[in-house]
Amino acid sequence: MKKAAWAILAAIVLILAQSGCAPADPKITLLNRLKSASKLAAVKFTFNKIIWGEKEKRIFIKLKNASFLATSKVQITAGIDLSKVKAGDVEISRRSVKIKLPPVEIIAYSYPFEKIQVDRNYTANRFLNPIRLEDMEEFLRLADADVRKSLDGLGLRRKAEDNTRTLLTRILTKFGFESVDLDFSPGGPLAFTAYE
Amino acid sequence: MKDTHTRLASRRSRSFLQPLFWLAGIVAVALLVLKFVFAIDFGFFKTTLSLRATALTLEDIKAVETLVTAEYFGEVIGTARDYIVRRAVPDTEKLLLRLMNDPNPAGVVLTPFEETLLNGVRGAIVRRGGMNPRLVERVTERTGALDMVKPEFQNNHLDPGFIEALVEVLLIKRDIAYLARGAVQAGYDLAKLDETKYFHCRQSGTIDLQAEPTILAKDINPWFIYDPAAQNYVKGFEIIAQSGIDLEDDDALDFIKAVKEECRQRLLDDALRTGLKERARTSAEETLTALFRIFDQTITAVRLVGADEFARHKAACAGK
Repeated sequence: MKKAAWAILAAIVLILAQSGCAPADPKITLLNRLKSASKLAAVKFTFNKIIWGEKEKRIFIKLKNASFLATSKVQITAGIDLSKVKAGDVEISRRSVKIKLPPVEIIAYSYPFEKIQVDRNYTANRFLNPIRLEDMEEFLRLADADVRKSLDGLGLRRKAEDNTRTLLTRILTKFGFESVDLDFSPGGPLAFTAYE
Repeated sequence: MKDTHTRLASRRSRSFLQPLFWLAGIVAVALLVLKFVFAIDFGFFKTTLSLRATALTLEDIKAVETLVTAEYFGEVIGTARDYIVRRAVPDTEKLLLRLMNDPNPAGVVLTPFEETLLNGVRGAIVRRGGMNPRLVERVTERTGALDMVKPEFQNNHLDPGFIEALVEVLLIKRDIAYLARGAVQAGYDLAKLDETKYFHCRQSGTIDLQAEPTILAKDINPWFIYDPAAQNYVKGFEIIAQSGIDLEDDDALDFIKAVKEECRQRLLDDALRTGLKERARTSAEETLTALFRIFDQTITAVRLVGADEFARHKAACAGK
């Protein structure tokens, strides 16, 4: 009997010790920190997104669906990370300069809550199936996820490259360069990872 | 005899049904335990939220010229109480001032939000004056409420005691607390830099740029991190607690937005307190020095300074 009690105690101690030594959650280190950056933003896109959601509820039988309708705006700023430009990427000969620029990336992504307009006429509660605040927040998250999934297919890259080229050419001509040749490195699919 | 038969038959059927009732009861309890204690879903109670596919339509493309040089990632708690103390009370004071200065306050058309604030004032009067039917009747009329709040409203500000009552009344109606995570970006708007704000001192090899760091973005999105590849999902707004929030109320959405705005303001305050602008300046100086040196080896440093310092450096260079 005593042995069993000791075994249980040892198991509890082991479990507690393990939980105490658990590796730090990466999310914890991510927050409340200041970070240096050097990102040159060249273009800002504003998109409209309609959020049309449905809430299906079952309490033994399927209840009538409640609906949620809202309009929203998404603002996406794109440009390049200047810290990724190395000395070896720049070729200067007399009055001409050739730079291999890093791929275009999304510098800021904003899904502002103040621009979300809920359409009261088509947002409808049903019997035992209301749209609650937590449902609205979930609909907004679903919409946000939807936008993020389609970032690469919005044709942002070309426009961002054009604007970055124009901006840098203007800056470099101020340094006295007559010929400016800017090339972009190929990048992966456009995604918003700036905060990660 | 017949009665005895009937009684026996009834007893037999009861004894036959009793185990079935017991069984049904045990099954029901087991299902409830599995559902609510172990969160096993049988599909009897199920709520599914889904979105219909809608397109993203481009509204605007704008050329920008900004240099983001510092970012702050933070987590804050924003509550209805904070919002009421910081925003709703001053808004109430402005509203009272507007109504008191109007020759016909009863005729002023109020927004649903303003109506809520005025009802809060009514509630605070009743709270402080006691539940008196005559007082309630008087306060219901707008002019009556304004007359009664006048002693509490000196020099365009409400009495601290009255403010306390007002906050409590507004919180009785509804309350909410959000845990919010977002990012603040600071840096420089290069479009504002013209020739007059640029100075290259050849003797010292320094470049002075007259520019102040600004806040370029402060965002709290529905998702803070949404990374399906890494299975990393962190919500932007998370509801900690709520009471009395009914989305069908006319001003409910404005109230929610106001509390979210409070979260954003707190995030910004935290970022500034941590030294975001100072970091933005030093980081920009490092970035620009490194970049400019690629094109001109004689450059020793790029300095981002205010107007006074810019003029001082320029004069010092001319004097050398």
